[in-house]
Amino acid sequence: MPTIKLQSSDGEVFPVDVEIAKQSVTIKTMLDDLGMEDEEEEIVPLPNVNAAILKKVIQWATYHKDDPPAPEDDENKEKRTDDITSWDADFLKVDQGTLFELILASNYLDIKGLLDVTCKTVANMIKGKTPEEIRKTFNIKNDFTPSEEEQVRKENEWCEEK
Amino acid sequence: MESTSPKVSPSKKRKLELNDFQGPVISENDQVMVNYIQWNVYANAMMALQQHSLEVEPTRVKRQRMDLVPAPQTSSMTQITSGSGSAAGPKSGQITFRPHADHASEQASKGELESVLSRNLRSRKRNSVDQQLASPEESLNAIEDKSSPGSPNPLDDETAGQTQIHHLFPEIMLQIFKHLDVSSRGSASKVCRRWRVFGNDRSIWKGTLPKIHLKRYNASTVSSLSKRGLTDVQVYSLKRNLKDLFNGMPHMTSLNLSGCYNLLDVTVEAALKKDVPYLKSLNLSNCKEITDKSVTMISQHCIQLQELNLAGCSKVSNMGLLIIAWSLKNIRRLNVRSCRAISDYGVQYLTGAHDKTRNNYAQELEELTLQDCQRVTDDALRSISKGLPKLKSINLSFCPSVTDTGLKSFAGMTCLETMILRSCDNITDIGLAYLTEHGLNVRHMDVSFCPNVTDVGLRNIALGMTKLTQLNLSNCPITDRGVLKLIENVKGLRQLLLGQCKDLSDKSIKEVIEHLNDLESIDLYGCAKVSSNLIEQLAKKPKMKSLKTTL
Repeated sequence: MPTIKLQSSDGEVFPVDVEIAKQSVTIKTMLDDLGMEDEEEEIVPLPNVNAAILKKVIQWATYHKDDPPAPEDDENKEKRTDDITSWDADFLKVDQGTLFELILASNYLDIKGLLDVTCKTVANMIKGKTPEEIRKTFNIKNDFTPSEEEQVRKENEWCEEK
Repeated sequence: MESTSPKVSPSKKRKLELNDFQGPVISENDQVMVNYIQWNVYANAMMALQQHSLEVEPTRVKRQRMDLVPAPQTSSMTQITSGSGSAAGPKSGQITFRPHADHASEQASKGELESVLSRNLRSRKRNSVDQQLASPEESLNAIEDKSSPGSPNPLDDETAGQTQIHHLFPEIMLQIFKHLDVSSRGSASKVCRRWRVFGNDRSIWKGTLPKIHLKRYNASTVSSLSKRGLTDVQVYSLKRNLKDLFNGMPHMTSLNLSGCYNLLDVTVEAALKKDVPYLKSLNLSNCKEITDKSVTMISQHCIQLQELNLAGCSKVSNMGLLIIAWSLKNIRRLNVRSCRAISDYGVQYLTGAHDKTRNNYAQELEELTLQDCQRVTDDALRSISKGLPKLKSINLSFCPSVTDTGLKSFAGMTCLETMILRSCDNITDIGLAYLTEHGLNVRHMDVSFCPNVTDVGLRNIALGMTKLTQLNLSNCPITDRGVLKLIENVKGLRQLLLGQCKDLSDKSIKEVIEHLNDLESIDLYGCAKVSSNLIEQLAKKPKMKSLKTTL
C-alpha cells in the first residue's frame, strides 16, 4: 500500500498509508490536485500539528479507516451527543489542552469525523452545567458588568422552559 | 530540489477560489511579472522547506489565516485577480487570501496546507507583508478581536502554554454550541462576553422550537428570539399578552398555542391589530374559548396561512369555515376535529358548493380533518369529491353519519393518498367495493374499529389500493383469508396494524414474513393464535423497527 510521510511542526516524520491519510480532506485535496501521489518520497509538512497530536490523529484515522462516509448534516435536527462510541470515548480521555489541540488539528486537516466527535466531547463537558460551573471547567473569566449580566440572564431565561 | 517543483501544477480548485475573488484585474503585462515573482517565491520556499532550516511557526495559530501562493505557470494564470486592492499588491509577489470564517471551517482549512510553503516563507518576509494582511474581510473572526480584552490571557495563569478553549476559532465554537441542547445553550451564553456572541449567532438556533410561557413574561425573551432568528414558537401559557409576541416577532412563521385554554377572542383581537404576513402555520387546538370571531381576525390578518389547527375549538361553527374559505386562499391543511357545531354546510363552504362563481373556496386544501364532527354526512363527502381536487388526506374518524354512499362519491379521487376512517360504524364492505372499483392511489388506509369491514372489504382494499404502504385493520373482524389476499396483491406494506384481529393464525404471519420485505412496523396485540417462534422471526426481518405484541 502506498504511503506518504507527514511531518509534524516539531520535525518528526510519520509514514502513513495514503488511504488513511486521505481521511483528511486537506491532504486528500492536495494529493488529488497537486498530483503528488506518485512521488512517494514527498514529505508533507504540517506546521500546525505537533508530533504528539499528529500521532493521536493518525491513531484515530487508522482505527476509523473503514468507516462509511458520514451522512450529510441536517441543519434542522437537534444534534445528538450521546452517540460517541466507546472506543472514541476512551481515545478522548485526555487533558483539555490535548482535546483542544485535537480539535484544531482536525479542523486544519479537515477530518469531519474527528472534529465532530471532539466537538461533541466538549459539548458534553458544557451540558447541564451552570454558567459558573462552565467558567470553572474551562478556566474562563466572567467579564460581564453587573448590568450586562442581568441583561444576559433575562435574554436567556426562555431557554430554561421545559 | 527545484527540479521537482515544476511538476506541482496549480489545481483547478485553487484557480476557482482565486477567481472567486472580487478585485481589480491585473493587466496582462503585470501578470507576467506577477507570475514570475510568484514562481521565484515558490521555488525559494520549496528549497527552504527541503532544508528544514526555517524557523517553524508556533503550532498554535491564534487566528486562522491563509496565504495562497499560486504556483508557477504562466499560460493558465492570466485570469488571476488579486485580493481586495491594496491588501495584496501584485508586487508583493503574494496573493493574500483570508478566509471568511462564515461557519465553514472546511473552507478555512483547505487552502492552508497548500499555503504551508508561503507560511514558512512569511516568517522571513513578515515585516514587509504582515501589515498588508490586515484585510477588512473578517466576519466571525472579528468576534475574537472585539471581545479579546475580556477573555482570559493564557499567560496570566498557571496553565499557560496549554491550549485552552479560547484558542478555538469562532466557527469551531459554533459547532460546539450547535451540539448543545437549548437549556445548555442558554447557560453557555451567560458565561462571558465572547460566548454571549456565539449564543446569539443565528446559525446555532436553526431548527430550534422555543417553548415559552408568556404568563411569566419578560420583554427580553421576545427580542432574544427575534435576534436569534427564531420564527417558530410554541407558547405553553399566556395571560392577555399575546400581542407582545406578535409585535416583537413580526417574522414569525409558525405559532403553536395548543392547549392555551384561556385564550379569548379579545386577546386574539388585541394581538392581530395588524397583518402577520409571514405566519404560515397556526395551531389553536384545544383553545376552547375562541369562536368564529377569532377565526375572522385570523383570516383577515394572516392571509398567508397554510396550516390551521382548530381541533377541539368547539365554539367554531360553519360560519368560521365560510370565512376561511373566503379569505385564506393558501390554506393547505385544516383540522376541525371535534368542532361539533360544524355540519355539511360548513364543509360545502370550504368546497365552494354554494358559490356559483367558484372563486371563493379552499382550492389549495390538501389535508382535511373532520374527525368527530358528528353532524357531517354523505352530502359533505360528495361536495369534497367534487370541490377539492388537490385533497391528499381526509380524516373522517368517528363520523357515524358517513356511510357507504359517501364512500362511493370518493371513488375516482385519484389525488387521495391518506384515508382515515377509524371507527366509522356505518361503513361496510359494500362501501369499500364502491370506493375501490376503479383503483385508488391511497398509500395510507385506516379502517380500524370498523365493525362491518370483513374479509370481503379487505379483498377490495387489496385489489383496489395496491400502492398501500400503511394499513390499519385493528379490531376488524377479519381472518387469514383476507390477509392472504392482501399480501398477494400489496407487497409494499411498511406498516401493518392487526391488533385484536383475534382470528389470525400463523398462516397469515408466515406470509407476512415471506413476502412483506419492506415491513418496518407490525402490531399483533391480542392475536393469541400466533406462535411465539414466528414473532421471533418477524423481529429478525431486516427493516423491522417496531413489533408490538402487547399494549
